[in-house]
Amino acid sequence: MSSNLTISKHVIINNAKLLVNGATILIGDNDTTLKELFKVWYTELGIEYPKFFKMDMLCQLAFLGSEALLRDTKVLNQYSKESIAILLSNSSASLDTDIRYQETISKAEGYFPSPAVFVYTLPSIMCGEIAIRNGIQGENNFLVTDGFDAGLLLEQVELLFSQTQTEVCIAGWVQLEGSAYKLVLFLVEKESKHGSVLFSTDNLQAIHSVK
Amino acid sequence: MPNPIYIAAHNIVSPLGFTTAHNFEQIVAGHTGIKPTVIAGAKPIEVCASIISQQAIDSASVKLSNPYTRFEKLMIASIADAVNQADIEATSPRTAIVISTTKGNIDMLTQGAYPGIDPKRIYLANSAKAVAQHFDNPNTPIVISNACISGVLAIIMAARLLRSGQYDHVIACGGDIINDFTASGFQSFKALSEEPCKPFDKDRMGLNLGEAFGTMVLSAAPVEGAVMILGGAVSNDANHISGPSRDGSGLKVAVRAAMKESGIAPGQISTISAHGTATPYNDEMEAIAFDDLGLGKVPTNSLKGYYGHTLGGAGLVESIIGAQALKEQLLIKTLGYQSHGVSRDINVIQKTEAHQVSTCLKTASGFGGCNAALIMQRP
Repeated sequence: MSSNLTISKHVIINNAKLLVNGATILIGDNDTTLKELFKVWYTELGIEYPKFFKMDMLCQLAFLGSEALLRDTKVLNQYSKESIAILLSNSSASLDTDIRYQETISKAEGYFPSPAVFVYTLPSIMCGEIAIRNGIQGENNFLVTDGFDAGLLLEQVELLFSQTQTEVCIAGWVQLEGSAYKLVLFLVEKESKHGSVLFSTDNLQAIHSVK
Repeated sequence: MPNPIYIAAHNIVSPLGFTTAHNFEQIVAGHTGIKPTVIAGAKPIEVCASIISQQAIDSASVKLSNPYTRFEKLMIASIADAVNQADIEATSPRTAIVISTTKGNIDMLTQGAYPGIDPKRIYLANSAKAVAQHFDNPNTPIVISNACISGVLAIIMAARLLRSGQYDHVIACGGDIINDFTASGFQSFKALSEEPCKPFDKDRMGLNLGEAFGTMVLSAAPVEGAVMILGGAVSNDANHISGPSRDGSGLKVAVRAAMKESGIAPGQISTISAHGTATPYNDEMEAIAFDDLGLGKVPTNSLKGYYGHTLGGAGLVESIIGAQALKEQLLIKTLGYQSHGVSRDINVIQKTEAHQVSTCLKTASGFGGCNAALIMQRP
């Protein structure tokens, strides 16, 4: 399946590497903890955003991916804030943080439910964090699927472009469970640019399966 | 303007009953599902909440041949009744299922909760599949987990899917169970009221949590006498992850886009079913948004005084009551409201009574700064 839309840029974070349009931009040490890895990348990307350190690992992953996706683009200047959409998906929702939160309430002694942890027990907070950082006010949604579902992503992004005020969409997959993680974000636009590829299930699948 | 989408059938499962008819009767009579409750856990939580009794769930589930969780049983009960009424083929590849929930089988995180059930059902896609398989639906269900707007968003997505021509019918079902996970979390935010909630009231103290599951069967082809979905939209405040924007700007973006899609001007909205959680910030934000949009005089209710905040179910359940009120030509009062408690004009409905109403605006807002707006119209 394909559409008239194009993927103008994509970012992959996997195996301690961050790739932009297929080129490796950052390489981390596979042996460091995720927390350390993300902190190093935050610094290397030159980001100054203290709220980053309040986020759970899933939101930090989504945040780093969105920063790499939007930098050096004109998205935030070119489009109105209502016309930028965010559509993310994964298979474990916020389960990692859910388990951590459950531990804080599982014993009468040491019972300490923290609002700062609880707020991250919603996967859609990722959309919120990206929206807040960039002033994005458009359509936003979070879908839970068994695995990366290129067909559903294509269908849902097309619905946004054909039936809403969406002009550009940050779409993709942000999965984190324990020490396993993977992010693939696509910038989907109407007009093809230099280096754009067709927004099709084949291309989504091919990009997602890059090791 | 896009084609309208028709609400062919619907169901509500809640402490007020297991059909829309029973729920609507109870609401018109002014009854509530909210009462003092103890939520079990390592540290029992004493709150006011609207919880479905285990006995009611058991008796609705006697015919189920496979083991299901509390969440799945409630989904199945709600979908089964709606599908029966709609007289559609749930087994058709032209019927899609959209499920909205924030936490699904969250009670599976408690050790030994469901010995006979695959622990992988904690993953929302697996739980949704188990529900879809019960109805022999051949499509992979679409699971929306977008905080407290999930239910309204499920209806909006269903309408979009139907307009794209891929399906004849979409079954949209939403809900959440309440346990110590959710209750302690909202309590840690100091968002829970110890008394029944008071939406838009000057003495409002916060929200009550509730369990209610709602299902709409939506149809692309006209259904005689059915209330229509004209349009809907979603937005983000881009302001704060756990509090609404102070100026309602995000909600205004969603409502304007929904009105534009529906071809409806503010003057044509006859009633609003607000989110109205009864937290100080939410209700204030909504009042500002509605007033700014020229909707400050429109009769407005919050149904949270009947159901509490039902999270992933709220958008569906409250839209169904809104649709039923359009059909029956009634305004439904905001239970718990006594005196004006926001900084702007808002016409909070204080008496359930007959009234000419043609078009209803339903809104929802949630954590992460998300907002959704939906416009329904009677035929």
